[in-house]
Amino acid sequence: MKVLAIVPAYNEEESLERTMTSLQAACPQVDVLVINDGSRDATGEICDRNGYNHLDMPINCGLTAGFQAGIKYALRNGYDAAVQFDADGQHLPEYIPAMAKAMEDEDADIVIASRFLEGDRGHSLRHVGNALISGLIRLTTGVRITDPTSGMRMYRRNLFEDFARGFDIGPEPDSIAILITQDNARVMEVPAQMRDRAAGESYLKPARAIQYMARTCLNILFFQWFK
Amino acid sequence: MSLPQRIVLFLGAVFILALICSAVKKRRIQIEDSLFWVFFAALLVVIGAFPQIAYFFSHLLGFISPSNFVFAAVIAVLLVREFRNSSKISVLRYRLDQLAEEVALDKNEDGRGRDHDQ
Repeated sequence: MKVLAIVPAYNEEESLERTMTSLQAACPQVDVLVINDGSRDATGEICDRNGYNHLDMPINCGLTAGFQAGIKYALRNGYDAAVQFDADGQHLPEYIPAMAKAMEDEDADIVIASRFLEGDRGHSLRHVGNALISGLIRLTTGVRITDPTSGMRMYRRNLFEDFARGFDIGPEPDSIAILITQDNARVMEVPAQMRDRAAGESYLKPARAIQYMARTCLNILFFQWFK
Repeated sequence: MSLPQRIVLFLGAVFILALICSAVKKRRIQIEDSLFWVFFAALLVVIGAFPQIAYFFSHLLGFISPSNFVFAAVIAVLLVREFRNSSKISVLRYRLDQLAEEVALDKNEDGRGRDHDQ
C-alpha cells in the first residue's frame, strides 16, 4: 500500500527537522509531503535545504486547506492512503505501519491512532472535550471512537475525493461522523501513544478551544443532517 | 411620524450616500456592491417623504407606532444583508483556499519537473 504522510507545518522551524528525521528513519517506505502553510519563519527554507518534498502555500490558509492540498496531491499521484502527521513532534511514526496494516487487514476506510484504546482516559478539560465528542459521534452514528480528537488519522483513497472537492470538510472529528453517515466509512482505531509537544505553543488556546468544541458539536449534532 | 424623525431619515440617507461616494472615490467599494446602499438610502428618503407608507404598513401589521415599523423594517433588511455577507465571505474563503492550493501544487510540480531534467 502506497502511503503518503501529510505534515502540515505553520511556523514549525523548531521541530520540523527533528520530526522529519524520525519519520523518515522509522518509515522509509512512506512518502512524506510537508505543507508549509504560509509560514513566516524558516520552515520553507528548512524544507528547501533538506530537500523535503513540500508544498508552499502562498498564504496562510489554515489546517483544513493545507490538508486539502495534501489530499489533492495524494489523489493526483496515485496514493492508496494518506495519514495526517503533526510537525510538532507529538505523533510517533512507529504507528504508521500498524495503521496501514489495520487498514488493509480490517478493510477500514479511516484508521485513528488512539491514545485511549488501551489505558485510562485522563480527567483534564481536554479529556472531557474528547469524551463529549466521542459520545456525540456514538449517539449519531452508533460507532464507538475512543479518541476522535487524535490528530493522527489515516484515510483510504476512496475518501480522497470527499476531502479534495469538499466545500467545508477538514481533518477533524466532525468530518469523521459525516463520512460515517454519508459514505458508510468504516472506522477503526489502533492503540498508540503520543508525546507532549516538542516545541512551540499549542494550537488550542482557550478561545480557540471553545470555538473548536462549538463547531465540532454543532456539526455532529445538527448540520451534518443538512449536508 | 414627527417632522424631526423625518428629517433624521433624510440626514441618514445623506450620510450613507456621502460614505458610499467617498468609498467609491478611495476605491474601497465596487459599484456593484454600492448599489444596495444607494437603494437603502433611497428607501429612507421615500419613507421620510411619504410617511403614509409607514402608517399604512404599521396599521396593517399591528405596530403601535409607525417609527417602530421603520426600525423593525430597517433591522430586518440589514439582518438579511448581514447574513448574505457571511455567506459571501465563506464562498470567497473557499475560492481563495482553492487558488492557494493550486498555486502550491503547481509550484511543487514545476520543481519536480526541473529535478527530472537535470
